[in-house]
Amino acid sequence: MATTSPAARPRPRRASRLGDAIDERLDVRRPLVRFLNKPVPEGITFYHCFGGLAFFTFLVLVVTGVVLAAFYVPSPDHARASLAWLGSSVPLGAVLRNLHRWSAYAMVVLVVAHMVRVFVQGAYRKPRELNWVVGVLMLVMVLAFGFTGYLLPWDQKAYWATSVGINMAGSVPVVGPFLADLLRGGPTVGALTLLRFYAAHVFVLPALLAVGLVLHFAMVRRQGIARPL
Amino acid sequence: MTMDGSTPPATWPPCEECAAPASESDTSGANVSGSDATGADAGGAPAPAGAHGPVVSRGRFLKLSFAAAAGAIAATLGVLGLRPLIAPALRPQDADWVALGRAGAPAPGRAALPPKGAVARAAFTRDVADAYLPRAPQKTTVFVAARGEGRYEVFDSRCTHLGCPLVWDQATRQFQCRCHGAVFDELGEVVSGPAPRALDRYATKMKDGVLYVGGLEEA
Repeated sequence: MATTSPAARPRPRRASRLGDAIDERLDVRRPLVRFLNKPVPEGITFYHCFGGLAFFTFLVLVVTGVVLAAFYVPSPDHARASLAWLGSSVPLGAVLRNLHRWSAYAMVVLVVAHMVRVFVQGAYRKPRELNWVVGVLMLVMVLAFGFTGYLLPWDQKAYWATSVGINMAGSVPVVGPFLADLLRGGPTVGALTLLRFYAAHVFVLPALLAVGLVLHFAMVRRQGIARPL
Repeated sequence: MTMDGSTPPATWPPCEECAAPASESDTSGANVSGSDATGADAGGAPAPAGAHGPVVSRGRFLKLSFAAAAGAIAATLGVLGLRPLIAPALRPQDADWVALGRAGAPAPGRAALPPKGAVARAAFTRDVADAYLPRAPQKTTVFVAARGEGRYEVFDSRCTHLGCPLVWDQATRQFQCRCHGAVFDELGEVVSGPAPRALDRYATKMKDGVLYVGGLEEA
């Protein structure tokens, strides 16, 4: 079977030996290599980086958000105090919170830039219409992330921005009042609103966006990057 | 193949049957590291000194650069994420001195301390900070042992085993833990049971006949 005796071949490094042992049992290396070493068409420019950069900001937001969740209290009694304490008394706390905030700003900008690139280059055309639809849905999710996250500091700016936003939702014909009540959880913006926005921000939206990202990337890998104009 | 966790042989793969698939994956592994290299340095092996061509192929250089950048970003995020979680309030707090009781006759607003040779349960209250919450009074239960001539020892009322509250048994003059049976004598030393060390003590000082307690000191 083997053309060379085992002793004649150079002994691999320890790490690759572990990799070999795993690969021998699960056969993961070839699919992984095929997935990671996908050829891209000629003419790819830095304009094609916006989507990947937006995904990178998402990773930063997940990491910082998980740690923030260990300090933030979604209650009108304690929201401001917990964030003030995070900023003043926790090592790197202020950096953590501001990185989350600025990454969120950057994500919105990058997502829009990505969308403009795809639109201008016509990369949304057949056969990639479905991926455009998933992308637009994810744009809505990203804006919902921003809207829900904005309330969490529970300061004046947050309170009134949310009031205005919910009133805008309330002006939708027919279903508006129902939508506003659903968002608010009561007659006025209050404790339930804060909890709802928090739950949406840390449980619902991340799960939805993760599903969207998997679909988005799977379709990109399936179809390849659109040939640039 | 063996799944029994025996010592791996000096060579890998361990047997002839395993050699075929392993060498196959070795080949694909070599293709990974030199995937976009020219034939001269396929396999990612450095060219011998003096040979033509780059020492590190372009593809391998880019791969290493990418790995270094990704590693730096991951390390930065890791530090940023873990540092706030590692005991944010680890800074030792200077415990305020708080009055526990008055020696001799009881006075208004001051509990009496036990007479010489006696051990008694006592409690004091002081403001304790808890993260973002405003400082709030916290009641602490202790045991006061009067040694005579104005000397007192103040023991923590928790067992040094796993922190259960202790009771003072007057008949045997012992501190007993109901959780796991640890027993301490009236000097706080371990008599029996699972306790790893003697009872913890509070710093004490006497001032104008009043006993003050400070920080907790581990035995």
